[in-house]
Amino acid sequence: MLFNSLEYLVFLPAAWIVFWAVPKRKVEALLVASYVFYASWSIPYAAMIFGLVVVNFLFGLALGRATRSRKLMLATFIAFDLCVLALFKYFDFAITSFATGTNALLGLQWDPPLLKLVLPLGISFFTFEFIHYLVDIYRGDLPVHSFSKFHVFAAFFPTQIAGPIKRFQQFVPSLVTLGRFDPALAREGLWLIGRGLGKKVLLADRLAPIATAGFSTASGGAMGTGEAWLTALAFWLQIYFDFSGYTDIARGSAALFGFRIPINFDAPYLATSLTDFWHRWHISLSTWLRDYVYIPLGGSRVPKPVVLRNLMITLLLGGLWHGAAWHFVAWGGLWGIGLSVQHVLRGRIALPRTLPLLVLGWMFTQLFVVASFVLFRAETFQVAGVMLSAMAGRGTEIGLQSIARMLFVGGTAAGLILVSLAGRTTWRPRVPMPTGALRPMLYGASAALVILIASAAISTERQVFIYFQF
Amino acid sequence: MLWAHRGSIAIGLVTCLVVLVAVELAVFRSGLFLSHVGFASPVSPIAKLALAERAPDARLLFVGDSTVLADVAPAVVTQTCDCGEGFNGAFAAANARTTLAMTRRLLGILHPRLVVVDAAPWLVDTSGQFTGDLFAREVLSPADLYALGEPVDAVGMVDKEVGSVWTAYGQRFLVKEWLQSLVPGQRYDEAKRGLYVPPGSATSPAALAAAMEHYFPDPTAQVAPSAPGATALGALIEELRGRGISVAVLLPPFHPAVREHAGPFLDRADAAIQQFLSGYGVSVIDCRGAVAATDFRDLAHLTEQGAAKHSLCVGEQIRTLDAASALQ
Repeated sequence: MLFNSLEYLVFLPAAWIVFWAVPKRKVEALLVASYVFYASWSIPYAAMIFGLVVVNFLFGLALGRATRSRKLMLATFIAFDLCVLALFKYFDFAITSFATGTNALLGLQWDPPLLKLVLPLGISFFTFEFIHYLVDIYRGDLPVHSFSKFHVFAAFFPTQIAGPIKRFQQFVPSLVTLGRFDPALAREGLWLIGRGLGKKVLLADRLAPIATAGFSTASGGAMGTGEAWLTALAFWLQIYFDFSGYTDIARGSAALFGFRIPINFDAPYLATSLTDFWHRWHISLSTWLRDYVYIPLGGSRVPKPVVLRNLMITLLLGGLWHGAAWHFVAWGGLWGIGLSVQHVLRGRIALPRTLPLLVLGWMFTQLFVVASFVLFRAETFQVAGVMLSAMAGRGTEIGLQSIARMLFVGGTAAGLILVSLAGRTTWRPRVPMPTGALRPMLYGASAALVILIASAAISTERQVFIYFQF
Repeated sequence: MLWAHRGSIAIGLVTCLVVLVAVELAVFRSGLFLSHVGFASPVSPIAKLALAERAPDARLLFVGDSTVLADVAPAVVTQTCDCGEGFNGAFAAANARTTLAMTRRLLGILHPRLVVVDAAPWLVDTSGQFTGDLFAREVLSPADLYALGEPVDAVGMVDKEVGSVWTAYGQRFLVKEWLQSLVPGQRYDEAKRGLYVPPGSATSPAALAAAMEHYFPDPTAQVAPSAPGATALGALIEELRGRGISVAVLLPPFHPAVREHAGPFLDRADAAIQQFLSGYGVSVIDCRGAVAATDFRDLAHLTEQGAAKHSLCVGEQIRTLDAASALQ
């Protein structure tokens, strides 16, 4: 079930009514809702999730009780989860890449057998949650909880498909107060859902055709410089509005049930350095990679060459996590190089935090982000090469075919930056709120608007969320 | 806690309902939305049907799949043949059965004297399977799809029912199209009367090879004039003639790379199509020689300039057929 589907428009209110109507057994109500949510897409895969939850709970139990060989146990358990992920997501990619390399080297015509398995929705997200749970038990940061608590953590439907990647420690407080209705949180949830749908329908889906058309042109082998920039900027905006819109809906849905899910984005397009960007973009993934890959490798408290190696490994894995394709790996690699260079320079040059330097840093960072997203979006290196080469001024022409589209993209970008900047200040627009019967009427009219946007957001199979594929 | 606010909740719910009903009646059911809304692209049947409402003067109707959608510019045809206004009612990924259903829907809106329908090589491919994709679900009812071998689509049936009661939901694709058309430079120019050439280009060797796999996955496939697609086209021809409307068949052009990959298949398909058409005595419009490799946007579709060249030829052939009174 997708967030932008008719099923979800019916499912969410129904699940909400049942959840708040049952006086007890709220965990069970949430679990039923979560499995209905997933099983509406695939019953076998819903059963597989249940199996993985049971297995990982048993792993956690074993780790919590073990006094010897705990490291070996942890490695085995993590390997199991990664093998499941690899089987579904990376097996065909690995064997195809191997065959391509072997055929090129030895002049063979080997056509390898492929599994062609359907990728279970959200597998990359819940696998990382399992690993976090096991590692934290191993470290002693997390006591083993009851099966039902772990179960609802792992299967929780608002975050099941595309995150944010949750931490058990942050999830537990909501479980403790489960069943206590918080009107302010529910209002915030509705606001987040409305905002998320608005980002998706009014912005991301409007930018998508511009980006798609541009990348399609690039696949023809040549494009103009202006068009390349327009395309890259359109995708830079689209992916933010799409993914942050999805996250808003996920967090808003969770809030309706009394759960506070941490933010995943913190004005990423205001980042003034590459490191700063990863503190603001897909925060749940970047912090997961930091805590479960980068720091275990040694983090920054090791000799510089080892730090650079750690950065490269972490970012390459981060790229590969996004998809079984070489352009994702290259995207991660590009970020690894960028962060490594920044790490080296930071050790040698101490720059004051003045406004002009911050602006320069912002411009460089966002240029890097825009260029890196070209690698992320382009399905082949050839297309990425055409785009990047045109952006570098080697396009077929300098001008734009459509000034109007550039104004739209530029205006949207300026609007986003201004709203992000306003969010950094204490200034808030003063909206006079009506009193008496006018106030519920205003809420009613707003709800009607959200329902109309939601109806337009319902998928016609053309506009699914980008991050569902991961 | 909720009970304590029942008065406010009731006012809010009633307001919400009133706003939704007002929008439904004033914007959607009144026809205001359909008659005034702009589109970003006319690739779907529902968008085409809405556009057709604005072209009641069309005397030439072009139907079929994306080869017609991107290759026939009605305005150019009209200028050349001087035979009345035209409308391109083709949509992406159409097949003979969905074309039949779409033509029936279009004839409820338009009153053409000539319908031109495409006959692509896959029409006579005996292994061709009907697939009920999104666009098929827009023109065919769940019952029709089931009759064509598609599994029962319970969600689709609910979707259709909800859409018929709540028009704002039923026309959500048009709402999205309208939103897209508000983006500067994205509004579809309705003077093109249904022609749509997707932006961009895909003529690199890799893109052509990928498209070849898509359009001609099996160059050894069997062809026959009695293939299911041809049978559906035959039914369309009979039905149109029964209504007193002339019919002509258009053979769509393909990038020369197709011949290198699937030349024998094209020849066999051509022969089967000719055999099929001779059985119906239907006029053929063949402008495949009017375009060159540089006129293609991709393997199966022309660029705007290519479409203009092709349409010029189509207009001339219609004029010739008209002059010879060869259209039946």
